[in-house]
Amino acid sequence: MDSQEDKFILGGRELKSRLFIGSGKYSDDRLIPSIAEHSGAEVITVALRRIDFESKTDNVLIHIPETMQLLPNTSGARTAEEAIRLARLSKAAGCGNWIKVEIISDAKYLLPDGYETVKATEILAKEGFVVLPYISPDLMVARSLVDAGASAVMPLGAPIGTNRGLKTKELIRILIEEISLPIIVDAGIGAPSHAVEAMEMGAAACLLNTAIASSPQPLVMAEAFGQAVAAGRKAFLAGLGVDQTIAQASSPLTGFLHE
Amino acid sequence: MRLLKVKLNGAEISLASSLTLEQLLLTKKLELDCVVVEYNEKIVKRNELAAIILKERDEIEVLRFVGGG
Repeated sequence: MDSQEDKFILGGRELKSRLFIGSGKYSDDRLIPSIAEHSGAEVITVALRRIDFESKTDNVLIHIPETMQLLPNTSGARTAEEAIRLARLSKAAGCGNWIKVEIISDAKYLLPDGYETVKATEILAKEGFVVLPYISPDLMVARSLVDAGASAVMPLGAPIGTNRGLKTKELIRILIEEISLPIIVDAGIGAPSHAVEAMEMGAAACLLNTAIASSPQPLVMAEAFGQAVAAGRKAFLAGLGVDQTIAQASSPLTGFLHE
Repeated sequence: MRLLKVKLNGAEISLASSLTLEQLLLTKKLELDCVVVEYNEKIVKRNELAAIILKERDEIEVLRFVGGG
């Protein structure tokens, strides 16, 4: 397929960029518009939290360009019930109908609960949400999510915030091969090379936060990730060469001086 | 005056009777257009806040959007 015709439509919206970014961990939320501009990203995640009446904190939404697609997450939810409650609150707050279902009860590795995620996805999809569930790359869970009405499946490359890359690469490859929905690699992507790797495999998009937010030069890193995701996608569309162990000469094997 | 006890974001607080939910939130100096309010686990729209008179053991959650991944 020509990259000019390569359309990515999610939740009824055509997206030009296949990089989704987070809005957390920035030294100053006022950086967010520039991060968005440098990365080219059109989708950005936000979280919902109780107000701390003792400290004045901004509403992060005021820093997010209006043209961007908000993707509220359900972080903090430990059960399907809690995730559904957060999703409904996000929608009531005017954040639209996209939701990243993130259900975690494991405090050390922050690994998602697939069973609760499927339950929440089924209910929220029926309510009209565009549900993007965050999961460990498990084929059976992913198949259940397709049946539950998810709009995409978001497997982790490595635990959240670790920057360790695609430690689950083989399992993600299976999802890309077997699941009809877009596969968006979420969590663990720490370097542009990791994003390229995911996109070359045929991932539909990458979602990352820490890798940009924790860079000493986040604007430059945002740009690097935008380019990496685009390059990886182009390589996937072009078709990668065959991986083989025996050498194949690039130059002609005739007309040598010693012949 | 008899005080009533309600839970606000998980913490028990004491209030004067017949305070509305809107009045309570305004005492916290909140911009009400930038928060999401739950009253006894039901989402409350901005224009409904003034009509809710708080009563004993009510539970109120006030949330806002923050940066997240």
